[in-house]
Amino acid sequence: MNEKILIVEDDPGALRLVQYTLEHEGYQVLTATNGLVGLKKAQSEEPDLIILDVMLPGMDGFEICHRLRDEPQTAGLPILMLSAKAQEADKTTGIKVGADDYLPKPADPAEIILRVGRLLAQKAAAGSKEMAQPIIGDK
Amino acid sequence: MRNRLGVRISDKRCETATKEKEMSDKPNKVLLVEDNLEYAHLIRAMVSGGGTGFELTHVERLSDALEHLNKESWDVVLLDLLLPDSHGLDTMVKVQAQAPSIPIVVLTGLDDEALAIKAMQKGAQDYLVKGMVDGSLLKRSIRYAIERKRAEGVFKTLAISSPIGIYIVQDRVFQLVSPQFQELVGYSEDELLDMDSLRIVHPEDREMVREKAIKMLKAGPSSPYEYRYISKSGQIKWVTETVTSIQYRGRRATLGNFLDITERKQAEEGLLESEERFRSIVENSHDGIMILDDAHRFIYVNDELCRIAKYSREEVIGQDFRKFIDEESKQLVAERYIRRQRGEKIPPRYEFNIVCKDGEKRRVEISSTTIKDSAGRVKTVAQILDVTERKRAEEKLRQSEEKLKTYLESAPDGVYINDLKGTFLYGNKKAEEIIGYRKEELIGKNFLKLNLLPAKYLAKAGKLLALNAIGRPTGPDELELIGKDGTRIWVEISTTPVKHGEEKTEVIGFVRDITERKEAENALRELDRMKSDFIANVSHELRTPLHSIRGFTELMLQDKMPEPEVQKEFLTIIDNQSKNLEKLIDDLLDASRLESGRFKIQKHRLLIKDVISEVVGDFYTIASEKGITINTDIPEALPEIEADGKRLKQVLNNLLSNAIKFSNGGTHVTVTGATKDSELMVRVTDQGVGMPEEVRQHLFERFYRAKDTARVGGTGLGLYISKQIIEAHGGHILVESKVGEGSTFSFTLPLIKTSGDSNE
Repeated sequence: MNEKILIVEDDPGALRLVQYTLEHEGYQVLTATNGLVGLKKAQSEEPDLIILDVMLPGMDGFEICHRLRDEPQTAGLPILMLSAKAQEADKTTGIKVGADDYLPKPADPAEIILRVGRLLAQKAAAGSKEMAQPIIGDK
Repeated sequence: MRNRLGVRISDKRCETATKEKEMSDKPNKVLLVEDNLEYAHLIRAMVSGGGTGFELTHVERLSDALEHLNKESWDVVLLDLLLPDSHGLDTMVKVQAQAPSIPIVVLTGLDDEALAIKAMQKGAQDYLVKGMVDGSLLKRSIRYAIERKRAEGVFKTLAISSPIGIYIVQDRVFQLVSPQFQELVGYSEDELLDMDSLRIVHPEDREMVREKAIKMLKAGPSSPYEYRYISKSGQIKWVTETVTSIQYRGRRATLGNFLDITERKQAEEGLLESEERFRSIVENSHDGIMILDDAHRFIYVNDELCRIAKYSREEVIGQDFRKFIDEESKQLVAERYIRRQRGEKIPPRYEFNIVCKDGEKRRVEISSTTIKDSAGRVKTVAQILDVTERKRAEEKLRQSEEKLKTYLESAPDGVYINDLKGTFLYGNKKAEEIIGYRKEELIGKNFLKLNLLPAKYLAKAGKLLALNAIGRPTGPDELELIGKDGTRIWVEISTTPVKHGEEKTEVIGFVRDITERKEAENALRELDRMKSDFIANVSHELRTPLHSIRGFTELMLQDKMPEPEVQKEFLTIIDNQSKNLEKLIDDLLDASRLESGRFKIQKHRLLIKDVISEVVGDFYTIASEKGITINTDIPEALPEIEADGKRLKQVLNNLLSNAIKFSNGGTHVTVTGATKDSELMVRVTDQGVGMPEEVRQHLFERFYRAKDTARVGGTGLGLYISKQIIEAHGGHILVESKVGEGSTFSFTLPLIKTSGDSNE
């Protein structure tokens, strides 16, 4: 285990929750509170997965997702969008810009762990394959 | 009277000879033509006896006589008719032919009355029988012959030179005809002589002419009388004639003075006829006709004019024309008169009012001309047409058109008319108002030229005109117009083609300004969008704290955090997030109160720095967690103000939370306070993302969230509520911002007005 997960989230409470939950499961957690820092860390820290909030100051989660997919280094990185924007349209937008999964807030810590685990397993199953197949999980 | 005397009067030599003789007192030269020498001696003795002035030359033969006559002039010829070389009257004729002006006295042995008469008729002055003649008789006869011939010559001269035709009739036939007479009647002298004088008279006038002649013979010279004669070419001509009884060749004859008056007669008759004709035209004319003298008095009026004015002819004739026109028209007529006097060209036709006998005013159209009569007096001839009814009808039509126009002009919708090419023919007042062009700017112009339609509607306009062209009405269609000042106007247009005859089709269009409706619709749509955005945002804002609260609660329930300090940390987060939820709900309630007008502030004295310190303290943790430094610069000396502290905190909370929300780590948020004039000003400045103009404009609107930056969260109510709060305090709130450099929100509050120290 010990996969590296990057969380981009501006709400301190939410950040703390996800961070604690994942660390408790044994993941190594990196955090960023805005898009620019998030993108930078995604390059430099080479995380195994990114959890993106949508409503962020400056660059929003959709934009970050889009940019990650445009960069060859991060194009295959599993992305889980975690957002209080819970409408169907938001979910569709997330998938369109390249997210692998979309989880609306409020979300149970257990659900977050499940989704993260599933994405990492897929990535591992894909093995040497270039890209993980996008899956859309349900609640 | 029954004798016939032929006289030729066309010989010029006759005059000359006569004149010469009159001039001198020479002896009369007598040429005796006699073959009997003895008798010749006797004659010579007869004429020379008494020694009186005869100079006799004797020849025996006609040929000698003719030679003498040719060589020199003679006063008289004594002619024997029986000569060796000529016999009878023929002898005399030959002598006459040689010397027509010289009187001939026939001297013959033949006592033959018939011959004598013949000789006389042929122009002999006398006929003497040999043996019955003595000296005194002969001399007297010679003298008479000379005298008579001379008198004849004078008469002939008169007759020839007179412009009046002159003739002598004896025994009902022409004996003498002057050249002028010949010319008038068209017959030659030869034809006329011996012609019955009544033959040239028109058959209907013959009796009258005969009576005149008889009367004259009985009672002396007649006064002139007129009759018709017929010329040789058959023309009927008129003559005025006087006749006189004269002695001609020793007997009574009639002298006629014959003056042709055909032209005058024709002129008279023509005049009479044309006058009759014109009078009848004038009398029966459907126009009134009047003639005025140079003092504007009626000389003539026709029946129609009397009928129009209801006056009788007698009441009008001699009256001043101006008495019959109304005051207004008097001036008009006078002006025209003056202008005409000045020689200005004025239109021949004009209108004025006449006052009828019963006082009614009638509108008439007059066309007048002036003429000069034979005495040079100026008269006015005028034709007058009663146009009252026409004017009334025109006025009625005009009024009804005016009425229709008024209706159109006051229509609540724009009404316009254009041709099938889109050129405007009319636009009512409302149409003017809608597009901002005045009628004169519109009419005659094409909508394309006026640039009335935005490009995207041109195809549609073409389609509508095409439908009109095939007789189809269109609409209502909604489209935008470009007004004169460039503004866009939403309109609803319906059109109906109207056919005028075969060729021409005009289109009447009805245009309704629906800009307000459109704007309201758009505003409603925008409000709808904002509301649905609002709901999405509210749910997002509710979910975010809920997410933490629920997550941490779950973790704690699952006992996944045994450490008490971690538990406390989590509980603090749950507490904070609960407070956020509460704030959100407060905002929603405030907004709702503002909507319903139930929003109240409760003022009390406070120091602004206390409020600011408290709020900044609340944000300190959050800011530092994001790496943002909050600086404050609040002078100690800031005076107390009267305000609702709770509400002011709410405003500052909003501004600070926004500043932190839109800022990145490592930047500063600065809060300053100052007084300016009679106001306190608080500024919150960040170094965050900033915002463009279009965002700033709407920032304080209810539910407004910039579309591009809407991902940041918030209800869209904070600034709206803040603005309401500040304004309720009598202050105002504003924002300055630059994209990428940050924003400054500032608000003012009025200072307490105390005795002049409010400025520090």
